[in-house]
Amino acid sequence: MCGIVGLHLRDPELHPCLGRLLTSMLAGVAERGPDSAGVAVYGDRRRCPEGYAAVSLLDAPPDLPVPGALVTEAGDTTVVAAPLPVEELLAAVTGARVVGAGTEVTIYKGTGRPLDLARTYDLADARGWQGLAHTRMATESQVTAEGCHPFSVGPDQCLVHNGSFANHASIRRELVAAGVAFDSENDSEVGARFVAARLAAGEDLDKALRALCERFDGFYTLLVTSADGFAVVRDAIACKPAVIAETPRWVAMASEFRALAELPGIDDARIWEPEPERVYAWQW
Amino acid sequence: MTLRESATFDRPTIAAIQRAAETGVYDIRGWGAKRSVPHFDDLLFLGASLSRYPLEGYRERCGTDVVLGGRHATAPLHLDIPVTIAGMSFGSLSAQAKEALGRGASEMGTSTTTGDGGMTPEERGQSRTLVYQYLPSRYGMNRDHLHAADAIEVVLGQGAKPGGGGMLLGQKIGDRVAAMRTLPAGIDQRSACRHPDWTGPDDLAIKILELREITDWRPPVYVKIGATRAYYDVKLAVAAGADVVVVDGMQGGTAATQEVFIEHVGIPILAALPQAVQALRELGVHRTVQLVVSGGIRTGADVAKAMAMGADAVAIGTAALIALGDNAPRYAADYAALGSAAGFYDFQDGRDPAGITTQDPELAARLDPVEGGRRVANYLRVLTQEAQTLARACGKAHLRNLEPEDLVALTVEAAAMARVPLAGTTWIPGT
Ligand SMILES: Cc1cc2nc3c(=O)[nH]c(=O)nc-3n(C[C@H](O)[C@H](O)[C@H](O)COP(=O)(O)O)c2cc1C
Repeated sequence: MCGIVGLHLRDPELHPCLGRLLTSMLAGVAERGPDSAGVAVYGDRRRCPEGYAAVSLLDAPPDLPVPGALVTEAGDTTVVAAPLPVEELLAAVTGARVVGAGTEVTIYKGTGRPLDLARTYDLADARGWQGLAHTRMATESQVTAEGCHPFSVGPDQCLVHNGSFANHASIRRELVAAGVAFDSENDSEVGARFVAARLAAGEDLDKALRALCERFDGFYTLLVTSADGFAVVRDAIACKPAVIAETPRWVAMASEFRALAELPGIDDARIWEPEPERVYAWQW
Repeated sequence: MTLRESATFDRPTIAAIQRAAETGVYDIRGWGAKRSVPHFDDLLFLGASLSRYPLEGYRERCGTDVVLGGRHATAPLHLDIPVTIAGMSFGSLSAQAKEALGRGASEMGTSTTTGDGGMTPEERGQSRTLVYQYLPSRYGMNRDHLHAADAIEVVLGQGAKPGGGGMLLGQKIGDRVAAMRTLPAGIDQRSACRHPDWTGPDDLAIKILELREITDWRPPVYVKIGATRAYYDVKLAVAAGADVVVVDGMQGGTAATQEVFIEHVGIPILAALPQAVQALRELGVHRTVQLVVSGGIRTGADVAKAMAMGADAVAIGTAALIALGDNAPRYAADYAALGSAAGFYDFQDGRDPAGITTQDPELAARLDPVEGGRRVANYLRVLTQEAQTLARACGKAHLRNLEPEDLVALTVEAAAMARVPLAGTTWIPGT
């Protein structure tokens, strides 16, 4: 019901090509999610300069009171970067709907055809060391920019999900009882909040995703990224498609192989289908 | 001229008035409420379709195990299925019946429970996991049996008669039952309606600590309540230190109680369950302190619905007796001779032709504990498989992952009590 692609570039020589590679990957999963698409780009210094923090906002009010800010509009999304710590920038934009924040990541969400959106986000031009994209066919929530993945609920964290959780209402209740606030009714947000809580408690991606496997029922292929990690996990039945490819220059995952077919050196890559309930995590 | 029956003075009502006038004593009977009350039948599951995926019946796992009592006990119970056998006393049941329940429960990896009459060697011997009841009557209570128990259930009340004590009619008090209860044989017996050891939750906390000290904090301590002010009672049971709270709905079975009690006191399990869950959630202990519910559990659908509403496990009484062979048509002639009929026999009278709710040695010998155990195990197996069928249809790889959001209600009453939306709407009355 959705398409996922993700790319982590180990080789700095490839960093200028991130956007071009990601756009071709996105094209490979566009039909899987024709409603809407979201993108995350890590380490693009034109979008979030060194020493800056960036927040991605939906329906941002026209004049945000952030002095010295770099404001870019991309469809429904407005990215505000400023030479402030993340918390201060977040405090400065209270009232706006924040869909991502960090010192590395900029996030774009919107409804419409994925490749049109890629142009809106100027994706082809993006540089950086990591990126991911998600194309969505909504299940039990509305087609809105807010419902788009990635769900980014912790600093520089992203979660994209293909599938549907079967016990998310119960886990949401537990998290709410523990003081966690939610932005949407989306089941994937529950996954993102669960992982964020674990990471905030000091766990690494591997451990957090193992805990997720224990606790979450239903179907999922998840790609979870952070400022220092890239991880993939699937449910016990591994019902939703996924393929991972790895070379010394990059690690990539996608819902379908064709999204990986144009990556440089794909012919020599190690390519495999991730096993059920096994966490594949790269952390550095 | 057509005869018209009065709705207010219907035939059972008229018969009850006539019986009262003739005898001058109120009616005592077993079984549970016979009136119709909102129940799990008024709920339906939303199966998976396109937005969710169901699981395949025979290939894909749907777990059923449950751990009870891990809050404070060092030896919590690990049960293979979330259906347990409720406490039914030796006295109300024959030794053979108790043994058969133990055999059936053990075969399926679940627990059985003693009752208001102490622990018999037959049931201890045949029960892999035995919950020992500690009741207001304290019949048969002793330290050795506390040590022999896998869990201790402090009984504050029963759904059939919250606020009332147990009853056992003289015909069921044979020499062995009398000796275990230190009471004279053949005389009607009424157990205390309140516990002599505590007057409220403060003393109950002390009692529970005492039980823990005696048993070295090993077995879990349950607290069983009859469903009335379930929200407050559950909170108090947790405050008193319970590892597990058992809530028994008003339609729950009993061995013998005043008819007026059975039909007019307490609330149905459908109404009590959300209150209990709310109490546990507000205390932040839902799933840490487990919730076991009972009262009218008959099918795997009842099991699955109770769990979806937030119970960790269920307990069965009446249904287990029926599985054993109670009210079987093959004893139709015997039931008729007692002035009853197969399907209507109420347990209290002591001359149970099926050999289950009796202390008559000849009648009791009719029940083969091995065969009875096999029947109970079969029934538990079907309950479990039915619950799994529904859980898989809702895309759950474990029964515990069922949630209230999987349910809708058929009637406004059930929607309001169960706190799930009326089918086809998003409306939950009262919210
Ligand atoms: C024959 C019989 C004897 C019972 N004896 C006891 C008892 O000794 N102690 C107790 O706590 N509950 C007793 N109960 C109540 C059960 O533990 C349980 O709460 C009830 O049967 C559940 O409802 P159900 O019969 O609809 O399954 C008894 C029930 C029956 C049918």
